[in-house]
Amino acid sequence: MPHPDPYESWKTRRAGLGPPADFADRVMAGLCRQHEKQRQDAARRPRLLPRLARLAVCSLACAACLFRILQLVAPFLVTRATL
Amino acid sequence: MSDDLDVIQRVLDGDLEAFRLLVERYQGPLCCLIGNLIPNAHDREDMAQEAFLAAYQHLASYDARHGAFSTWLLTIARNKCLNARKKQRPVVLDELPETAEPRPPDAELVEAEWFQRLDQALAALPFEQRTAFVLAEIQGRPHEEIGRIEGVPVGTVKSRVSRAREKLRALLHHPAEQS
Repeated sequence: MPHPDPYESWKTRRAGLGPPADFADRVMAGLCRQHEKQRQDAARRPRLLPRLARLAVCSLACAACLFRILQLVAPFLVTRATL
Repeated sequence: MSDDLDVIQRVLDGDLEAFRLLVERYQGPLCCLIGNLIPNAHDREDMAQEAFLAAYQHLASYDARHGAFSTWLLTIARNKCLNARKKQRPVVLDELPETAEPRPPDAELVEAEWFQRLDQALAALPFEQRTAFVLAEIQGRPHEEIGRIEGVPVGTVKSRVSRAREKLRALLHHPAEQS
């Protein structure tokens, strides 16, 4: 009976390194967690847009008010400066 | 391969559970590669899971014209191992274990001791040689595929495999296979 080559036996042993029994389950569990997190992030994003839109409209309204006030007050300021 | 493409398309269409088919199909070769590149057993499983998660995240970028899905997946795994290695402190052992004197394979040395010495020698190989050796000699992959995984020409792959084999064979002082 030929003596087994330890080098070949060793390679066969290294080739046998495989995953644990429930490896696929763990990968899928990690994937589901990641997928759920992405879904929650995506669901949260649309709620920001109405808030940003409201903020933009309010800022424009304030700027318009300020401009109108300055328009009304400006003649009096000019008259006072002339006197 | 067309079966892989069908599964990939199902995953991209939103069937998350279909990805399990790919995991079960390729967990063996992927874990074998990572198991032979990462010395720490605890890190191996984390690395393997990260490789599959990365594959899922970038699944839309897989192009079948560039190679088989297994090649693409193993490239991800190999790159993960390389990045992990770069983050670790340099390993002091970069010399092969010494051989006291030439010993023929049928000496009284216990097989387990030979295996341990070869394991140490494998871990001591430069990363590129170790990867090429594992893919070629342990997993039996063709050199062309290994070249795609490593991003090097076939000649470079053959050279790396040959040098790694010589270093490991030298431990046994067994007549090196001429290939």
